[in-house]
Amino acid sequence: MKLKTAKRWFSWHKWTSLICTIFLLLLCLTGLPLIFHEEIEHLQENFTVETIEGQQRLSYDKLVEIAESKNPGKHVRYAFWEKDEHPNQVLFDVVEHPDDHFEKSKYVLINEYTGAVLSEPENEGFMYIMLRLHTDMFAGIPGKLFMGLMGILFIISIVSGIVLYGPIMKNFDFGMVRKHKSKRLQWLDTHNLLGIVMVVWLTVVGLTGIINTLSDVVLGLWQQGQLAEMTAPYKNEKPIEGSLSSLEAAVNVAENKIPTMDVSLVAYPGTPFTSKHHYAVFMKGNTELTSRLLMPVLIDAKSGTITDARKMPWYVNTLFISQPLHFGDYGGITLKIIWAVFDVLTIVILITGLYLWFERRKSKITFSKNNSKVK
Amino acid sequence: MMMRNKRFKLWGIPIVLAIISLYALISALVGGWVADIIASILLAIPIYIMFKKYIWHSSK
Repeated sequence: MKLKTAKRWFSWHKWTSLICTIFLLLLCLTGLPLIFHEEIEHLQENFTVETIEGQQRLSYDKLVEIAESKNPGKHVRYAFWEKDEHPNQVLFDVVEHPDDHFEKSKYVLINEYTGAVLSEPENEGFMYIMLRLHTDMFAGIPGKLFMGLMGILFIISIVSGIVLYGPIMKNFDFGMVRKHKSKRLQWLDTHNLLGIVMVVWLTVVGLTGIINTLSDVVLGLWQQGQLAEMTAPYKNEKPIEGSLSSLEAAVNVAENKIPTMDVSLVAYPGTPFTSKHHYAVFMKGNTELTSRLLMPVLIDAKSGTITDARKMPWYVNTLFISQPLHFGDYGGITLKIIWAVFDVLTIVILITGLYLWFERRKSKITFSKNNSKVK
Repeated sequence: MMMRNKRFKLWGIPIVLAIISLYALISALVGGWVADIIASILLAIPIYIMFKKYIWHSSK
């Protein structure tokens, strides 16, 4: 590679890294506890889910009544199930208006068999702060998109780093770390070794992170595209007045339509995930991969009949697939530990990179000072 | 020939590690618990190499 070309790549590597480093440090530090969020939340749980032998599960409509009675004047807008990880329980999101901001949500976790309220999780605490700092720095959609921009810079710094690895390492053995020469060389070799060995993980987590920051854009595209198509016959109808049809019946209709899938989420009419006239019952598959992909079944919330059911478009599925690849929560605790090790080593890459920049800058300043003295 | 050897020396191990990592990341996503175990073992290889090189590799 010509010196001029190498300098240009170095310049790209330096500036893209410098701009995004502080945010990447924040992402790595906040991401570390988030990798183990399930385990941490499990430790914080102070309830057990009791089931009575031979007893039938309570109707979802009864459970909705219980959730709403805990929050007078408010109504259920989402119901969540995690049947594999947390069986026999359902989480309700309760608000005054279906389109309220998620910070206004009250959550009620209920035992499906006894109707007992297991907990009322709040949007607060250490894990919530970590999550918000990691996803949007408490700045909403602009914060999310800004993080996406930092992700793009990170990818450019990875590509330029790979390009520079060749000329830097061409005369050395793979994995050389010059510990016994200068501290600068030791940190440079550490930076190069960790960077090149972890390049695939860094790229995958970086790219999937960028895709995750586009979740609101993806939701908007889905609303304008597939959801609008599915609910087109209802376009000019007035929003539903009075009581809605049964939630239990809506879930049953969806499960009968797709018996190979389980209910994962129900969005009530008027929420961003459905129309003003439908329950959207999101079904998930039973395999490792299909359990990550949701399929919406729209149920008329007045008549209780099915309106439409379709597979999600590719861009929504891309978002769904990118989530586990970013969080590392798809291969058990061992994979999570590996994710955490990579996360810590990424912090080392960032700090060594910063150190190298400081050292280079310091020596440049010293050199120019000495030069001016000579003159 | 010399050139090819030099290139292999420079990029051989990084490319093998990249393939191993990519395979592990994807196989754990599409496979069951056996794939999860294999993926964890495969992803431990780059970690092992980094620590091995850092701790034991000395260059004068």
